[in-house]
Amino acid sequence: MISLAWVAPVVAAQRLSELWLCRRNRLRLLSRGGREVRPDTYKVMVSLHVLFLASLSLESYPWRVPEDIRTWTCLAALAVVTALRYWAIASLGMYWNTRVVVVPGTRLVRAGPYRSLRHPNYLVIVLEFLLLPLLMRAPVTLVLFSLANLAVLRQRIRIEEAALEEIVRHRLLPWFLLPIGLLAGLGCAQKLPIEEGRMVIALPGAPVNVDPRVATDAYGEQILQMTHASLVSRDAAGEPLPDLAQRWESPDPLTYRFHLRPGLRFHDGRPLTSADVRYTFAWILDAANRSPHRGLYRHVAAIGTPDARTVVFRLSEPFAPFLSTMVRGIVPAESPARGYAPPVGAGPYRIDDLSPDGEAVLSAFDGYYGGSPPIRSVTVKFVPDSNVRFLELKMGSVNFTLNGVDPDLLPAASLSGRLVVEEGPGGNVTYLGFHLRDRALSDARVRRAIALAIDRETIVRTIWKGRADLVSSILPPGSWAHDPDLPAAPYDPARAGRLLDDAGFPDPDGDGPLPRLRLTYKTSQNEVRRRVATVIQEQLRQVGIAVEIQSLEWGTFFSDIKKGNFQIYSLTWVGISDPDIFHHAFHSRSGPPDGANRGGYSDVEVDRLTESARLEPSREKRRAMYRRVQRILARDLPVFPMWAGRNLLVRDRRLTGFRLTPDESYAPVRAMRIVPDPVAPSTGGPR
Amino acid sequence: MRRYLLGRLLRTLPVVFGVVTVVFLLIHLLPGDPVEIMLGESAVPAQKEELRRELHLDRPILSQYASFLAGIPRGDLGVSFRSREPVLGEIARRIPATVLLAATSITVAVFVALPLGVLAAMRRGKAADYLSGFAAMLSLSIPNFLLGPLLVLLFSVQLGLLPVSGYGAGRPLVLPAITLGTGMAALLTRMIRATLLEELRKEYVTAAIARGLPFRSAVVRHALRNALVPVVTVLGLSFGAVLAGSVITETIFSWPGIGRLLIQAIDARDYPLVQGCVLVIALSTVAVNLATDILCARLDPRIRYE
Amino acid sequence: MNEESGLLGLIRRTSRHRGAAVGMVLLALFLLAAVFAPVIAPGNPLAQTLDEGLSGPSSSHWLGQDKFGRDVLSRVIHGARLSLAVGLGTVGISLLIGLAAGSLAGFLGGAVDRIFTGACDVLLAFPGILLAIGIAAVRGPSFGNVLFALSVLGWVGYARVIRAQVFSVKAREFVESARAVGGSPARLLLRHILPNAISPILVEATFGIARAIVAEAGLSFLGLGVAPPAASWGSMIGEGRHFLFIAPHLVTAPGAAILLTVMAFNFLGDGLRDALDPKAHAKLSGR
Repeated sequence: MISLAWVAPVVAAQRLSELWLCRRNRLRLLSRGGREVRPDTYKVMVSLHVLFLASLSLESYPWRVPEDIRTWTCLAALAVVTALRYWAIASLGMYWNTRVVVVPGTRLVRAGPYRSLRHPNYLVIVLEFLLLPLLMRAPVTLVLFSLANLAVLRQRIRIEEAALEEIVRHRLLPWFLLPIGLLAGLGCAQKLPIEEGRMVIALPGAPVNVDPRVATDAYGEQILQMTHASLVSRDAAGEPLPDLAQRWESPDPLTYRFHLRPGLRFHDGRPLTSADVRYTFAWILDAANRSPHRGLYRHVAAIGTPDARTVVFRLSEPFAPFLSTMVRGIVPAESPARGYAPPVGAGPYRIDDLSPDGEAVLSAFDGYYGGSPPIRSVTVKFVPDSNVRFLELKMGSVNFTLNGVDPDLLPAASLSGRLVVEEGPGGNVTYLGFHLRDRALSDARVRRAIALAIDRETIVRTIWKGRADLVSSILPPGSWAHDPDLPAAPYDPARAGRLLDDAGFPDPDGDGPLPRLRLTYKTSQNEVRRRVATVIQEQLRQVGIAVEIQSLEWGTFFSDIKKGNFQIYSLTWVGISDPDIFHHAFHSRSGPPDGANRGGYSDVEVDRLTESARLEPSREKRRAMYRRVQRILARDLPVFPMWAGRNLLVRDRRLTGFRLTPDESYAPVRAMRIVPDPVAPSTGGPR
Repeated sequence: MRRYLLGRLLRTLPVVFGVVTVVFLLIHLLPGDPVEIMLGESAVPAQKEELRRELHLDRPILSQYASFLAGIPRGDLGVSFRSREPVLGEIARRIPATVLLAATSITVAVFVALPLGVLAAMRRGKAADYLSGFAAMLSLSIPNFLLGPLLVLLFSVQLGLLPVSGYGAGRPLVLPAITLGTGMAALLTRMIRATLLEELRKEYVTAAIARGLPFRSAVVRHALRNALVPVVTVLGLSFGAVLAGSVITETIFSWPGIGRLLIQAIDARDYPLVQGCVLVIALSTVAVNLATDILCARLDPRIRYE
Repeated sequence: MNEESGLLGLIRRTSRHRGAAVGMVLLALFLLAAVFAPVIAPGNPLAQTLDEGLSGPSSSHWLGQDKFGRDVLSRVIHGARLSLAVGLGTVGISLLIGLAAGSLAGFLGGAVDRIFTGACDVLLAFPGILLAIGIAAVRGPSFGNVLFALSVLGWVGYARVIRAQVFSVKAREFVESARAVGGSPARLLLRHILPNAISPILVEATFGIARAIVAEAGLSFLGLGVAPPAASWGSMIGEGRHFLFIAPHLVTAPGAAILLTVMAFNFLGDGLRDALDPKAHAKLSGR
């Protein structure tokens, strides 16, 4: 990037010197009997140029532009244009003026550039109004002032022509220059990003915040996985893996000691030490900072840093899931928390630029402890529209997207052979939640009937195109605490009908249209969820349950389910790694707004088991406890876990090395590389 | 003229005031608690209370309203709940993109609608008239969110000429401007045709033709100027429609405009940001109306404002 | 009364305009489809055959099947009901509110009129999108809420027309004499104001219906539209647009229906405008 702060002052100086020249010329002409025509136009032109410079300076603040073809071309063109300008001035001599001054009896000057063009000076002005904003990357100024300038010049030229007493009809040259100028601004043909060694990821939404101390939204987390490193990370089963911390130990249930690797650095070169770790967590714990993660660390009583590579956490009470909460990006001490200026991290990529609604530009960090990432440049584009994401992939302007393409469109995406589809098991379980205090749903038979009436296999086959796995628990199948022997709910509408009969909801008219029962089904506006709702509505109708679908905007939806204002709702658990979720979702005291027990489920055994499992240090004993919990939940069905969608990756075939993880993590990007095509495609172009 | 402007300005203030008040009430009535949305589920109740106090959400509505109003003359529109940046800054960052898109699409619309509308009026009842009518209705019937991807399919994927999405003054501007401008062009074409036909019925036109003025000149030089007056009025009034249409276009093309910001703010129950956006939109709508009135006065000297 | 006045005369005059004639025929067809949908439609618009999802046109499904295997042709025919209901309902409600508000403002004048103008200005400066989203958030998508969202801002145009008419009629002399004789405002409204206002209002209404139908498609993009499994052209486009590149028939079928309806209403409006114009239109081409 080079600084162009000198441009505006230079142009201003040019203009001022010309104004001085004008004054001199005007006096000379007046003394020879000249007269000025329409002095008011002079004011208009001066104001226009002043406003132009002001707008240009304002819009292009801080006057730094990349050193590329465009910059050099514009500078060169400006040099030529300026030369042309001075040639014109020189040719007109004392007749040159920004005011319109005529001397009766003199002949028209036809020297220099005036031989071929009638108004070379105005050509120069038009070009300057095009080139300067192009150079300074000021598009609004370009469009607005070019138009204004053309209007002003048009009027001005008419006055001049009239004053010179020649009414020549000719097309105004500047009108043609505008489209030419715009076309020039569009630049040369652009190469595809992968040909430039750049990976472009499409995220279905924009992150709200990319500060690990504050970020709660999924998109923010995904970017953070590439830019920030934590003490520990997670593997596919949810077990902790060393990240910044080489090893750790827990001598007693209240103490956790982490040992950092040697030679750790942040993106700006600063070394990463235990002081930074302590700073990060202390910041989160400080109530004044309003971090949403504060509740997560409420058991932390003290953080000690005996030396630069050791951090000790002391808890106020035993908390078995503590290690899983240590997946939190570390930031340097004294990092300010500004909304869109992300703090520096120690991850494999550094954020060069982040525009809130557009994209994040990342570049490889060579000081990363895990080695320099082979892919040097990564752009993350925020593309909310599914059709546009698909088109970007087809065109090649995006070459990587995780869960960004509708399962139905996957065959179309891989049609040309340039794109490759990969899938891996997912960790996000979609489920139906029931309100257990509802008259009908409080009866376990009704809930079981609903579970039996839903043909999950057909839904997975047709809506998910087979790319989802049936589950019986909200804990994903890969988790260490998952119970593989849980009974799966089959599809048995006949039995569902019998259960409903038993529960006191007989079918009033046999096969006729009258339903046994009416229920409302709330869901968000997510397209796939709406489709699932439509199918479930039809399947339940066939056993006599009339379902009314309410697809609500997210804020309202979430607020409703928290208030208990629902009968059935559908949602997905995202990012569940520790089985402590059972406490959070099913303990009788874990009701909203703090817990997720939205249906009001209460079971003494589940309460006891989830409480003990929190304090239990032995992994084996914890696993046994959670298995029991899952069995009870499968019997009672306070929620009906349906499936876990697989993670679907669509990537350019030349981008290899990405390891799909159930939690949709982007951390494996650091091991990816671009390999050239082994064989040139035989059918047409790469598209 | 100056007195008229002053009078108009004075009358617009209560309008803007009214809009902002109504929106303030509406957004506070929407279900959904911004504190919950911001802090998520793992937050401790004490934390939520603190945040509520800090954001002044625990004060009665009237008091929150008063402090919002008090901040306006200072230029302090509050701080966004979501991003913790000043609202004015968030909005200002997006103004260039919004202005660029709006200006370009209106230009596209005018450049397309003028010749088509004039043509339809001049060749009324013939094939050209019906064709232009059909084209107008076709573009009216195709929603933005279909037209956009179709254009992208043709110009980006098939022809490789333009980028699919993104923000920029050169190539990225073309497709969003065409998408947004087409609907407007359709309406404008019909309007121009209708008003021009009205004008052409008037006596001064038939008189001019009787005096030997060629038909084309009569249309372009005389009738058109007068016909444009109601068209310009409609253009100004449809500024609000531009904003509505632009939300969809902005979402599709990832164009960072104010419309999209407004939607995101509403989704997040980001009260200060919603209020700030609405204030800016209301002010600009009012300003555009004023500007169109002035433009009309310049076009038709018979309109005099007292 | 000469043969060209009255409703029949109006129809006759309108049908002289070629486009309007076509429009009227199309509209009649759509109305028939809407009313007799269950009889005309070949299949059940709600019957799902999931494994045949996204199939193209075939002999048993002339317009193909949607994502859930439902027959598109049946859904388009049934959709005429909802879409026409949206159009007519929106304009109907807007008209009622507009006529009431405009007449009141016009008759009572003074402070009432100033409040009216102020309210109109506020509503016009309102970002309509805000209202649509607000309603969607609070109440969820449903037919009633669609009507509400579309008509809450739409009445302003009609109100202004009526108000202008009221003012112009009030100023005329014969009103003074009618009042002197003892005519009530309601009578005034019916016999003098409405007939004159009817022309621009009718034209505006036909265009308004077309606009409302298209707006419903836009609302479905925002998530405010009729709730599943109901079929309206707008919600069909909203659901089908995700499959634009692999099953375009999901979008072209309802889209064509909307296009034809919009064309029909627009041409009808043009014809009405010409027919209701007191001046006969002169031949203008000077060539």
